[in-house]
Amino acid sequence: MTFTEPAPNATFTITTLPLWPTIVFATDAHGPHTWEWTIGWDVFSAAGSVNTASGQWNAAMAIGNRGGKLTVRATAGGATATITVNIRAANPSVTEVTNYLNSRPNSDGFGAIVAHETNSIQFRNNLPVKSGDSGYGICQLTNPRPTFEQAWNWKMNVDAGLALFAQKRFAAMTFLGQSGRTFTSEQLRRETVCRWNGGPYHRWDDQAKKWARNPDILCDTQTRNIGWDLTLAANTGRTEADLRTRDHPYAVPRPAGAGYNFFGVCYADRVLG
Amino acid sequence: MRTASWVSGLLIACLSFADCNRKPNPPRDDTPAATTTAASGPARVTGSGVQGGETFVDVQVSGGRSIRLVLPRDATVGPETAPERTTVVGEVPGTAIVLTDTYSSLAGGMSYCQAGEEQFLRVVPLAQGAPHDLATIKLASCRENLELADPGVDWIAPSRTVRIHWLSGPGGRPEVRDVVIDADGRVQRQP
Repeated sequence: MTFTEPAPNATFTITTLPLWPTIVFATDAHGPHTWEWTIGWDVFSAAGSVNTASGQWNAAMAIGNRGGKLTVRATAGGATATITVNIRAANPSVTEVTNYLNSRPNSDGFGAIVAHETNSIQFRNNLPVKSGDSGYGICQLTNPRPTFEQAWNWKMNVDAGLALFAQKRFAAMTFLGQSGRTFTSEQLRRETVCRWNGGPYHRWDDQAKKWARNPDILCDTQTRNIGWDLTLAANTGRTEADLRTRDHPYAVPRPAGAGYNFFGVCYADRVLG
Repeated sequence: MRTASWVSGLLIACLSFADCNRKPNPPRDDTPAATTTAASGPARVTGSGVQGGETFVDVQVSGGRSIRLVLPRDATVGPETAPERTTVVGEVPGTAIVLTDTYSSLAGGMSYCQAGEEQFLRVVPLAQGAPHDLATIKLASCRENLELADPGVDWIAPSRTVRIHWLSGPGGRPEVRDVVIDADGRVQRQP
């Protein structure tokens, strides 16, 4: 018994939509078949078994939103054969990712984070990108740990990132709306992006009766989110250039008690301009 | 997942100068920590750091007794992350000490919470004999979306109560919770 299709080690590609390829397996045997399949990539794997009345099976349903190495073992009338094929993926364009994000509710600001952090790259060399701390895909999902599907379906990956972003947006609305205070959509956007990185962006100006950027945070505009708390005695009255000269190069990881720190305020300023 | 529930942990303390001197376990030079004291009583933090994935805090309580507290953290804090701040909130002399310890958040992908903080409230019984029950409550968390109001923690000495004001509490809404300390230094169980 042998497979008549596909060719051994054939490669099938997921489109940028993303649309999964049709992968039809067929053997030269007749009668009922059992198809045992396993698919795996990196730390992810899945397996299953399907019965058909004839010697042909479309694996699309079984694969779902996964990719990697797909191995199928066919059994018919006591005979068996095994074949392995590869499933790869094409990276979506920045425009496709942006359009998708714009179609999702409450996503204002998240596109700027994605562009700043990963430039919308889900696949490199047709495999999901994986950062050093096991962050997968466009949103570098780490914790909660992403699913197999979120590693391979870029829209599911973006949706998982958006779920985290939505929590920050809700927290931003709670913060800005406390005591019946009002806020603008731009303030909500900045507050949310800031909180994605950490901490509040705004402080209530009781005289002006409006929210304003925290005036006590001075940013090193040459970095992603390093800055100084000007209320600390060591930083008070000093300029950005002065403090940079004092503290640069910045130690990684930052020592506790250092004069500089990481600030969501600076992150939002950098990401949103 | 929100985790602001009570957690019981082991409190490992040197309950005399002699004990502390016998097992010095000094702060690591590579993990310096800022310590502050905002005490309503004479208790003060004299040192803190991280060792083996746990926080140690050296406290001098009223009467001059020194103790070393070993405090568990959760998965939102990196195992090698030293406390950024340790602050005494209040003290019931000879009975309990209340403090907070604050850390940088463990960052996620795309700089998620890379500038965030995680903060714990600890109620430490001071009675002789070990181990003791240590009460821990998560006060603030970038990773778990917990946020204190301003002010966030009040120490009400006459009633031995810590009052926590959350802008976004464990239920995701504003919340005020009283943490009352018993005569034995333990926290009264919430109904």
